[in-house]
Amino acid sequence: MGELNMPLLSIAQLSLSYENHVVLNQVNLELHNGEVVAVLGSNGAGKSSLLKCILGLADTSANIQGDVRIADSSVFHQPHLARAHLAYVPEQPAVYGHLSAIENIRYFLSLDNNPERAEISDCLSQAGLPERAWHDPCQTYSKGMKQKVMLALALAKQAKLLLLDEPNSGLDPQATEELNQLILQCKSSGMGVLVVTHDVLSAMAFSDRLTMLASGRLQPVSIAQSSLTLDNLKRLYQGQA
Amino acid sequence: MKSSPVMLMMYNEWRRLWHARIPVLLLLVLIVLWAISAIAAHHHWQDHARTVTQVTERSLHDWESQPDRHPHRVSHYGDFVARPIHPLSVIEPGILDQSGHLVYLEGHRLNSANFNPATEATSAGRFPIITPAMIVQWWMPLFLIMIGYATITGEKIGGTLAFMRGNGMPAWKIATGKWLALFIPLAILLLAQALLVLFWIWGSEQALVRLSTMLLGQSLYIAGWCLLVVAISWSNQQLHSGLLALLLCWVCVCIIFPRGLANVSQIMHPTQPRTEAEYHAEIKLKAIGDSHNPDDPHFATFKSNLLKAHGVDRIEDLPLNYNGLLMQEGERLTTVVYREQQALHEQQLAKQNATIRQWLWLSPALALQYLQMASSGSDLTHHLAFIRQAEDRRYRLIQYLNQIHTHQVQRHDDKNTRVSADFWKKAPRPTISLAALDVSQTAIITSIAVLLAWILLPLLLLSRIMHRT
Repeated sequence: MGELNMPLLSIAQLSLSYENHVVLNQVNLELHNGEVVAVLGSNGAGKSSLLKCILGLADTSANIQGDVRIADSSVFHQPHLARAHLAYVPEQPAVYGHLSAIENIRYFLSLDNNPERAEISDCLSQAGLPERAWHDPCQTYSKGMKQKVMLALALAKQAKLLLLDEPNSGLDPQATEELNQLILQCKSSGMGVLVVTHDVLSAMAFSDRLTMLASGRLQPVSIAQSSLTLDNLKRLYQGQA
Repeated sequence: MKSSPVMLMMYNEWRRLWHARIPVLLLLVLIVLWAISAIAAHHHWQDHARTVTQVTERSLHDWESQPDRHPHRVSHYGDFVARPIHPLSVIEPGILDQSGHLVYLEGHRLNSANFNPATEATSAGRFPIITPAMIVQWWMPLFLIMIGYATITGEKIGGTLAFMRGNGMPAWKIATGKWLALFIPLAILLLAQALLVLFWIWGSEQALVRLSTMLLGQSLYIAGWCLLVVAISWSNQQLHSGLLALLLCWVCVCIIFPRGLANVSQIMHPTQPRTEAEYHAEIKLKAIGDSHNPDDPHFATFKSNLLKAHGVDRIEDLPLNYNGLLMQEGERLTTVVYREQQALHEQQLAKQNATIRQWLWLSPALALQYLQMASSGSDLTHHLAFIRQAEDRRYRLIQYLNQIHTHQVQRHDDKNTRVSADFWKKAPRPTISLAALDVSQTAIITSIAVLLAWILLPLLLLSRIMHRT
């Protein structure tokens, strides 16, 4: 019963500051299995810092308080245990151009000492990468295709929590739509997904909850599709919604 | 068999470099350059060795073929000695080309080669000859920079560093994998060179210890460069800034500091040119005693003491040839003065080297050069040890001839006397041997300490910046 209710990701009273600058101020967030949460925020709002804290890679010169737990393991105190449940997809798809999709996935899984829990080809199919491209060097791929490789890696790793940093940036509408569908697939497979994004429309399409990071604080937001006007979005990003 | 993440990282870096083509091309050029230098150095060494052998044999033959003659003529006929060269000097000929390897020994002269070691001991003066030692000292780091400057910056730009770090790959494993990927191919080259050289030097004096010392120094030096490449690549966000930073390090470590240190030490402790040293020696000699001057106080005292010792009043009544005794005393005085001059010269050289050693930490390239020269027996200390042996041989030989002059030649018929050639064959001509490695102990210890510090410096830098993605 306890395990069922236990959040997959739990951020409690997380504050991060430099000498004269507060980046995150008592941030709280819980994310459960099969849930997609989007974190919105303007440039410089602290979205990347929040992601770095979740990854346990916050700048060591910063003053950090609070805790981040993934599947009940503290990122700060048991980073290896916590990261074992995590798959992270950076804004720029991080694949080696000289390796093929299959080689990239196999390499990253081996680096992480991860056994191939799922068939890589299944994961690539699931991620929607055309089979004819599987053995081509990734330097010939589009950004959308590289995103799919990263997502296939997350699927192959069978991570419980998927962190996506600006997944839609630089994608055309078709690729954005495909990616949104993939995120929903992950959700339906029971994965928890945290997406940091600027793209409110996409976030509304795949998220169960929207949150806004403004002035160092993370607050839930609720927007109706019908009220999505430019002025409303500006107000939202200024934390006035 | 499952590979560790560090090894996987290393293999992947090799694949990346292979795929990029240019690094492979650079490595091939380096190998070709090394091969050319090895052939050129071997040819150069053979030239030296051939000259040494020919001159030694010819000198012995000429010496022993001398006819019956006056011993003083023999002392000016002279004798050549060749500086023994270690076969390892095929890698690093050191100051051999500046100091020469043959010395002409004759009466009343100290014919040591006059040179300026602190200046010549640094690389910049040796551009024309490419040696395998120079490949390791200069070209290997330069090629390494061109091959590896993007090793981490490229991962940063491609996002793979952040990805790996975000997915739990410890920074030290990434750095170690990258370091191994750069170091292992170069270490294999160094090892291959050492193995080839081992066959070449097998059976020579202290072959293993000399080669091991050289290999240790080269490995530390290249390991340090690989660490520096990884550290600077990690600390930069852009490829060109990392490349420029590394090139700046190379220019400072390999060109500016060694040349600058040599010049500064020469300015601080100048050595006298040969003609000036000889001029000062002549002045000193005249002040001590002039055997050609009948009124010279030293030789007047020498003569009166001699007469008193033999209980006679005239030199004609002496049972020995006074001219021979005069030659002996003259040679003794000349030698004292010339050795003093040589000691002053060596003192200045020692001061120059001490100044360089004091600042050696600025340039691990220079530290490696000192170590390579010491290992191959071609550094200043080995050269001075040779000069001392040669001078000792000269003095013993000349005084032997003066003894013959004193005992075998009658004074009244001095100029017309010919002494049997058998005496030249029995003359003391001790073999000159290569000094043991111990003579360069200070240079070796200092260089190894500098090279160890050279490893620590980029390690510290790396430990400070590794947490940055």
